[in-house]
Amino acid sequence: MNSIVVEGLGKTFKAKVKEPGLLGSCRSIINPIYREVHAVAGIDFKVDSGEMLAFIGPNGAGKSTTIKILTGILHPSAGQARVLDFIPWKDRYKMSFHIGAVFGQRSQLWYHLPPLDTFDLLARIYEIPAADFRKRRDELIERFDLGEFQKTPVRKLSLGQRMRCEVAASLLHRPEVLFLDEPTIGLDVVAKQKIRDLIAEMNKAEGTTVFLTSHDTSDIEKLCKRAIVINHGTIVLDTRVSRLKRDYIASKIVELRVTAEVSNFSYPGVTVLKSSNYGLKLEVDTKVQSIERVLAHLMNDYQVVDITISDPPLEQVISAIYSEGTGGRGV
Amino acid sequence: MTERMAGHTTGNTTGRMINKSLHLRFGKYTAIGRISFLTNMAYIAELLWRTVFMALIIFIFSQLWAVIYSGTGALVLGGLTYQQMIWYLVMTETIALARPRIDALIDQEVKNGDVAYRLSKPYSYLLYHYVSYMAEAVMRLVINFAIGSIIAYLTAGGIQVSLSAILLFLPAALVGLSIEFLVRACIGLGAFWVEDTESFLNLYEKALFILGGMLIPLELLPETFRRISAVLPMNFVLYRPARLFAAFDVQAVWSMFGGQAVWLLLLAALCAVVYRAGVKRINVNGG
Repeated sequence: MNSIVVEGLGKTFKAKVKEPGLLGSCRSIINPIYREVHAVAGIDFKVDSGEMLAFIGPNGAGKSTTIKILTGILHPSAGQARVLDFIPWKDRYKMSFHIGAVFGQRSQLWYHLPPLDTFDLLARIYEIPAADFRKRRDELIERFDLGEFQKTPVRKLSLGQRMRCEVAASLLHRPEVLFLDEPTIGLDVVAKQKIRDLIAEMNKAEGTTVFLTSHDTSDIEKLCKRAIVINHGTIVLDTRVSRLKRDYIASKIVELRVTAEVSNFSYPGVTVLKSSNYGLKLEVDTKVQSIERVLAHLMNDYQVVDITISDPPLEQVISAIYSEGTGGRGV
Repeated sequence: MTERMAGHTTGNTTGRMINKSLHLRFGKYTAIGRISFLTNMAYIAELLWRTVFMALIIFIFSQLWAVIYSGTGALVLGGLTYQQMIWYLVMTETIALARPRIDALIDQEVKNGDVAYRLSKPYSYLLYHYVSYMAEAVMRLVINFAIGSIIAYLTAGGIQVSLSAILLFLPAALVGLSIEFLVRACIGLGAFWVEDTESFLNLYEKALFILGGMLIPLELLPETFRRISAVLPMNFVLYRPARLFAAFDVQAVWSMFGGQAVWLLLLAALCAVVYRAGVKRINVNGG
């Protein structure tokens, strides 16, 4: 059964064009000129119930516009969409009881009050009977490990603690579909991992359908089995994450700081991106060389002060997807 | 008999279900009011500080009116004695300083796109803000009323106030503040169309200052101004409730509540139209 069905969905915005200078300003008042921006240009996809889907793309690709249409915030300019058999922009009020949404850069928590007060208010907003709410709240506090700071005003929480509260708050009314728009943005590695574990756990325990957008390729790798890549408002790729990983995320970025000067580093399958006296930035082609062997080599040859391993930026992955058609390779 | 009893029981059950449903449906707004009240408790010191400002204004006005009354030799001006005049001004300030800046908040939410995100929650955007606004306004009104009364008593002495005047002033002030909410909400929602709504607020504030009776009671304005004021909502926000308190008149009660009801309905309808038109224009940045 499908939780989300999208057919030919499109959204066009009108953006005012203004020429520079005073004359331009006067012209734009008397005779405004608009240009059409196709944020989403006819996309089709389906999401199964209980599936965790990654919806990824660079800035301005159309991800957030799609989420806003699916949560009923925006009306589409073309096409159809159904979320749990609701038409989001027509049945927004009724649908809101069945979906949850976390927008990483917008908080739904009351800044000066402890999370418990917000939970209490959200229970009333979602019309949850008192006994059900208390049971659910206690369960989420335990699962998300919020006990320690449940009575601390939100303004005093760390970003990681706040995001755990945000996700817990969005689950209070047991939504069948959860929209997560950049839920790990700005978090450190440990906090990111914690959020990912909790989302995965909820999906497994309650069968919640998760629609995730993120710039972080690790979020996608660790949470989702399927990914849709969107760019310029159109779907570029709809594939399994394992395939995306195998074909396009075939490299890792290693940055290290060492105690002695580095000179002429070279190793098979490794490209030096940047080199300074006491630092190196390397790209490891994991199809050619395993990351473990590169690390072992580095540890052996240098006295390492600091080391970080990261995925290539999503923009790079997407450009690799594009270049595939012209004979390119993964990043 | 059994059938009747069964019918009665079913009726009761249905009634209870409807009550429960209504309780859940509208209980959210009392909860929003409660959380807004709690949030504003964090600013209680700021609220009390505001009353210092009120004391300063009243002191200046009391000196000014003392000169006017003694200069003209009149015992009554615009139907008010000197003491009543000071109490009148204190009551206008009590209401005026209880008004939260909801226009700025809505303006901000429209500009930064928060208004769009609130649409994904099961509540009415305008009711949500109204309840939050009133929770804050009531808190301010009560504090202003208590401290304002002390200031008025210390500055001008006591006046004879009937219990009806006190009991009717508070609901009249609350309805006045509701009218004020609707005006300010319309101004804030203007951000859907214009970059800066502050200029509209400035215009309204100036009109309220003169035509709402904040500067002087409307009886002392020239005839033309009084006529203009009569067809505008401002006098129902400040002048009428404050006048009712300072010089109670049974006749004025009905015309005041009647006028307030008409303006409430008209402005609520306008606000709903502006909101609907604005929501259609939602074009959240990003995506």
